Amino acid sequence: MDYAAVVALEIVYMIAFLALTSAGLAIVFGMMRVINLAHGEFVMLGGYATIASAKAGINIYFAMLVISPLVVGLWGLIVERVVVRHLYGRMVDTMLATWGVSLLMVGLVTLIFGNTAVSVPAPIPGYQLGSFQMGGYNLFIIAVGTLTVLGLWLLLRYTRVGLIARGAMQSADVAASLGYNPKLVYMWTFTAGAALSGLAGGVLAPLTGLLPSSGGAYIAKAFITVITGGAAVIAGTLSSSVIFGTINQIVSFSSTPVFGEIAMLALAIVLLRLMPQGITGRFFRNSA
Amino acid sequence: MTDEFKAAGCMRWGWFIAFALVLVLLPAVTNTSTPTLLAIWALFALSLGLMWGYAGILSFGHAAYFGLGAYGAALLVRSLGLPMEVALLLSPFVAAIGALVFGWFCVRLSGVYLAMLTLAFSQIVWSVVFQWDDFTGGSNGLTGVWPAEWLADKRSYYYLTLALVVGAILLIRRALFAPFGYAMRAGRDSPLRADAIGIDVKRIQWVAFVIAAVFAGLSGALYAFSKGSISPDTVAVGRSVDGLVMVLLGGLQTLAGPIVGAVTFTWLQDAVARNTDYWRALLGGIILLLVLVFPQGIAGFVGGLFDRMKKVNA
Repeated sequence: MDYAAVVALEIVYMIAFLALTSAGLAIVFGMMRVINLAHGEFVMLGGYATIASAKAGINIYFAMLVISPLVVGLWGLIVERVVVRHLYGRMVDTMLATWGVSLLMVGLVTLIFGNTAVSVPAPIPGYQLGSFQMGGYNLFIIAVGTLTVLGLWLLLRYTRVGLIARGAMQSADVAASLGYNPKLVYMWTFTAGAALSGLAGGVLAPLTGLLPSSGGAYIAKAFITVITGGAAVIAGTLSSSVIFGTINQIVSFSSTPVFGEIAMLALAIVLLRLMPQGITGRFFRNSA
Repeated sequence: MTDEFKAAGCMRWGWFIAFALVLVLLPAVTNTSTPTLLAIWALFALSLGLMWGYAGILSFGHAAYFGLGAYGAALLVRSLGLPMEVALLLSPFVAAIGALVFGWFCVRLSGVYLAMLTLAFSQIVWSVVFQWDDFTGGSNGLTGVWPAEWLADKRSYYYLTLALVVGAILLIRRALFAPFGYAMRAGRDSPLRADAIGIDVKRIQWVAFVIAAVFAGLSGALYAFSKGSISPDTVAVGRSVDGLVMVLLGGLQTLAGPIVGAVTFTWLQDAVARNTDYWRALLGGIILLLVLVFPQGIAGFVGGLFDRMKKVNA
């Protein structure tokens, strides 16, 4: 019984982890069709922002929930203004340019923080579940992941800002004729996506130590999640996070984490073979 | 005929002979493995250029085939005890088998989904290689993968590499001007029309996938024997993007482009990496510059400059 609870908790944690690390990418790709290969480095930067602030004596929750999104959002704004905005509609060039950005970021972070691992202890102690020792901080991540997805959905679905953003994505011309500058909408959407990546990085920072090259660990998983999810930002990311999180953890528990990862990637390939437009290309078409 | 055909077709004889002389005499100037690596990267970039520029398949996971060739060669020697020559010839087919499977999935998709699927496949190869300690040596990689005795000297190995790479380039060129090559371009330029005149576009792309993988695998095997050891880095995403940057540096849709790009890239890396720890960051800057300022690649940019000068003179 305890064991089942542990597995269930780990599955929910993995789902939250995937949803959190993919949300920023999903916004940028799902709404703007821009592939941000620097996404992993955005997450990494968020982690560094949190750790550096915590070391400077700032409350760690404030650091991860406010400072990290702000720092990475600002950085995203700069990247959009300097690089990405010149490349809308040129997919390959965008991918390569953002890869260039990611290399630059790794170099800059190495320059500032050095090439050694940094970390902060998790602010929530572990707890006992039956005979198993559990990480209490995982519960916090589950909460943040849930709130992020919920908040994003409410924002896109029920607010004026969300309406304008969705409108500009569907038809930039119509939005422009109604008085909303699509370029500004793109700019803020990219910034919001970056801020979400920063949030993910900040929240996840206490779990693992950080290296300047840590971003690479997130990128493949996040991309697979977003692409398999398909065009609908929230429903897509959520459904593929649920599928992949479950498979990953079940296979990991019955063999090793290596096979969990491989099973997840293999499943993604089969799913994309069956549904080339992603899950939401076939199901939940009318969702946000 | 379009410029594309001229560019691939007309190699002026004088230039050709001068170029050949330089290639043959390169080891006299330097006794490092740099000339060998130049040839290897040229072949790797060309195989990617074949897929991207001619078949219109954007692969973000080309390192998978490079890695399959490299690990195939190393494992054939170490686990099966095959002689190095046999391993070198068989290992491209390891990559081809991988491409047969991966390609079957990939060619059904197009655009960004296809690119992401190739990335997923190379990531699978990477995870397997990185974590299967007993078979692939895990993060330590495999060591002791040396060429046969008669190739032990760096120069003889360079000449072997050069011969194989030149042979491969000629084969690729032959394929590009065979009906298969035309069918490939047709599928790239207008899949609908190609389909309408009876070309099975998906099938052609699948074949292109496998051919590109064979040559990438060969370059991987040559790489493994030139280094004597391999690590999971040979399969990492960075390697795939390096390939894309090489092709982009040189320019798409010419045969010479990827080769020029590979040589420029390797030279840059060699010259810059020696002087700074931040080679990767600088590479990032170079990529940004390329994409934002020279979207046609260096070869394309210079070619365009020549065309403009001709027009001015005429």
